[in-house]
Amino acid sequence: MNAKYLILLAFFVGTSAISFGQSELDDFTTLESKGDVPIDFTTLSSKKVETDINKNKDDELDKEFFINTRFFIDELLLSGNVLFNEPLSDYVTKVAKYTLRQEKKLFKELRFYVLKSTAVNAFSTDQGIIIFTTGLLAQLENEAQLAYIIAHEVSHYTEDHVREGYVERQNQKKSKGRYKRMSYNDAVHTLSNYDKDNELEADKKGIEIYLNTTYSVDEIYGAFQVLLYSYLPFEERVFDTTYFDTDVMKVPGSFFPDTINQITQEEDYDDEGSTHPNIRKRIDEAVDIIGDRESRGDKKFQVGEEAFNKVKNLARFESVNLNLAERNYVDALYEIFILQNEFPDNRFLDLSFVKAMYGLAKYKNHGRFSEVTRKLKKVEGESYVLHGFIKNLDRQQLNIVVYRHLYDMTVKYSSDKVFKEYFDDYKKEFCLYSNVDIEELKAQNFEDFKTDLDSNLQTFNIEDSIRKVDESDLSKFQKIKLKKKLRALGNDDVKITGDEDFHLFALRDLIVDKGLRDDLRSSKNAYENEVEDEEKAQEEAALDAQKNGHHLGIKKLVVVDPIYESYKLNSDRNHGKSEDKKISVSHIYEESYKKLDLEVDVLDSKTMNASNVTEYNEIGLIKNWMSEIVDHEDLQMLSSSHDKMAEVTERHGTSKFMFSGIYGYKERSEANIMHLYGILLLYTAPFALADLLVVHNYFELVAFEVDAANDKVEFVEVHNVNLKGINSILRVYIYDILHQLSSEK
Amino acid sequence: MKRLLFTSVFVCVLFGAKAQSGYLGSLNNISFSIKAIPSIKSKWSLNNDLDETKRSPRLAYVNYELGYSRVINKKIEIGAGYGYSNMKAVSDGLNYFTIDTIQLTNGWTEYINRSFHFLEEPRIDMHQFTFDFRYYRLGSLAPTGKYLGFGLEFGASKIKSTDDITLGVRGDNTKSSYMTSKYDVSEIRTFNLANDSKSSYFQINANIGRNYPITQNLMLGVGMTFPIFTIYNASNGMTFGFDVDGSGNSFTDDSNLRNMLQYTQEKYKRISLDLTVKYFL
Repeated sequence: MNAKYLILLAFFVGTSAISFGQSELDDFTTLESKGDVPIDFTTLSSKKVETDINKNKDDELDKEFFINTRFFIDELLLSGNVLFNEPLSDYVTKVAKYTLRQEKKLFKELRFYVLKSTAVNAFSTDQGIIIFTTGLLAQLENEAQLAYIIAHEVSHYTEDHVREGYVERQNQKKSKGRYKRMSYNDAVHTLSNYDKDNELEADKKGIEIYLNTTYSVDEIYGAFQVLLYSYLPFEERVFDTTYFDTDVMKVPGSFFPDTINQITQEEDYDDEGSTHPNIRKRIDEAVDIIGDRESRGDKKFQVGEEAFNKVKNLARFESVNLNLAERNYVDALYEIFILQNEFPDNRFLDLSFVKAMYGLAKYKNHGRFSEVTRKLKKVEGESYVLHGFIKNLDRQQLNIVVYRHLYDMTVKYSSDKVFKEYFDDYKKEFCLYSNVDIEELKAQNFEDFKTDLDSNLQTFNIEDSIRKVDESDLSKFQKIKLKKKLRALGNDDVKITGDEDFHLFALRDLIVDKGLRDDLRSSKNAYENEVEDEEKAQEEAALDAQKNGHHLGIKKLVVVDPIYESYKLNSDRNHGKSEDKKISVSHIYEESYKKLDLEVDVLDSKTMNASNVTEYNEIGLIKNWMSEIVDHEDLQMLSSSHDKMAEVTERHGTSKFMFSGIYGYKERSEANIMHLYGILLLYTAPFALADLLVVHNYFELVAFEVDAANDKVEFVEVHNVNLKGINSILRVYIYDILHQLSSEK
Repeated sequence: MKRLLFTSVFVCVLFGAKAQSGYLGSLNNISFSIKAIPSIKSKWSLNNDLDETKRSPRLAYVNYELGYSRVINKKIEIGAGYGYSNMKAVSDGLNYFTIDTIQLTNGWTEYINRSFHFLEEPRIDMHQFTFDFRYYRLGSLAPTGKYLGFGLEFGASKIKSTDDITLGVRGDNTKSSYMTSKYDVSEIRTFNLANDSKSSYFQINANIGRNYPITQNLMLGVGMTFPIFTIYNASNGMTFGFDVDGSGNSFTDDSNLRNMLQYTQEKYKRISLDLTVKYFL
């Protein structure tokens, strides 16, 4: 075949492949599971416990082991944040299949999933489920490092470490075996060392598996390095101090720190309180084990570098989502900055940028900035520059920078209503809470201003100015203040640059071309009236709700994974009963009530079957959305999932989502003086004794409803009830909640 | 007082009408209650041959009540009812003396005191009207769960002048056990009151209990009622209760029988154990 033609063909295939991967990221919103929901997710935990207990031949494993492990893992699996049948988990499975190609039987016992989490972690269970986080996949440099971590986790499974760890903990709890006659501190220390020994054993066995592959031995050490620096962002890139500059706005360099906090993590850190040995120890052990041996190759990729990069980028994109949801706005911005180098003009990254800036401004304006920013002394590496910059901006400066960028994004994405939604909400925030004096905004060019300032400073005579102040009609104290400032100007250490006013010039094009000042003035008046009316209406509604209950007039509602937790008298959770009751509560919500004009969709993680992947994804998305809203507390703002929730709203035909939790517990009455009186008065003695001895049943019910149209919590109900939570009683309370949500005023 | 009470209830009903869900959307219910008042008293029964009378324990007075109640708001329920019970009056040692005159052959008149006992107490019907107010506590939502409340009760009963009261002379004790004893009857005399004997009462009581949902329309209630304050009105004026001390009280006219009626009511209006079935409309 013609060589030119071959080259052309190769080029075409290559660019197609790249553009295929690229287009997935162009349309990226969030990672979602696909296909059939695996049996690990659809089997009830109690069924798993029953099956595994029947199969168990190990005397040292009691029922508690199976109950605790199965229920714990299932809570994670059913959170909606575990991925299956999608690119990341499929890729991990392929790498695992290659790594374990000489252990085909072992491979068939295992299932590999990916958890959406910023934590850099992987773990395995005694059931053969091995989970890797997106945080880990975002940090890895190549496929070989993943293969080593897979081998390590598989070794935990083959060496039964979960089982052994449980037995060891039981011995420590009951002071059996080596823990007999050991002090508490010694026992804790011994247990910690035991866990570390297990980690070293997993390293050893993992290396044995790894050396049977064609991956490079050096990447074992690479994997340790990844773990060592996993607390840092997934890349260390010098932050570009012109990142926030636009055609109109130039942020002065003086706002960015000159130096950064160096990365201090050492391999030989103190691992006293840790379940894992430090990296130094692990590397030393690995060196001893490997010795002079080599693996069968020196590859970094076996399944494919392109596939690895696609997975890594997807994980990194998801990391931005997770940081936004967790309100780590500056970390999200740094990640966006890194990703935009490779993916400029990516809609998801631009929208995430908008969300991060919007979030920062909101928290700054409402005095909660410290919740969403980190202490600078704890930030290491290149991202320090960005963290320092954000901290250096005062309220007005930050708001104007945010306004500038959000406005520019609405122009860039003029037909995209999501960008407009964030901008419209932010504009209200800007007018009401930013403390920006609209009249101080300048129509002038900042550079021209600086030039004028410099030339004025050349001719400025401080003494002359002080004399003029003395001769003026200002009050005594005004004169003192002004003269103090003038004298300070004469100080050689003070350099007047005008940089602190850069923000006043950042919107000059909007002032000149769009009448921004008038627009903001009239908008501010309108918003103030709107807020006043809203507050009045809220107050009236709250009073009415207090007297008469709520009347929200909702016609359709989605109840999201209602919780039921049952606790025994000793405060231990009764897992089996909790699961049964959870399913019952879902059925109660689904029942049709003759006198209720309300349609209810229930999303329940415990009643899913293989075809319910859409519901599974929805549960994860909605729970994360709700968690973020709860974190915002009374700060009224659009969540980072607001646009994703719009799709869920459309699917269900309603924007009203309800969350409920019921916690059933038992208690005995605490003895008090009334009991003593009761016993002393003989006639009431039986009642007093009965009250002391009888176990009282309680349940606590919490329910709240959020409108996804504006991310507002519209309804909250809490009941603490001294009754047993049987279904007929729960039905009354659930009906009452549904009645309040559906009834009209 | 009555007007104020009525007005308060009306206002509560008016403004509370849409505020709560009641029981699965039903605010109104009708109920049937059985109220049992434990008793350590005994009763007398005459056999069909009228030659033996038996004393046996009463165990309980039982009252049957039909009621209606309505949920006012999440914590409050009010109700009204009509109750009926039929029971034997409590005679408790009450005797009837006669003086029989015998003309002797010598022309003298001999007076013989005769003492007649109750061979069987008269049955009386008790009617009462009740009004209840209940407050649902410890997190309960009306009308489900635990409540505390108070009630007002008005009741009346009577013995008609046409009712036969069977008295007689008890003979030998033919059988005796811890719980029951039997006596021969040597003489029977039927007595009638000159006029109807009436007794009424007004009571304020407290109640405590719990309602359990059974189905979407049915609820089961278990509770207790405690009298706090009771006024009795026998035909001869208002009193606060009449107590027979059992030491051989006698009657030679109607007044003691009227007191027996009131005494029976007093024994009846004590702590009761209530079982209620509610049907929600």
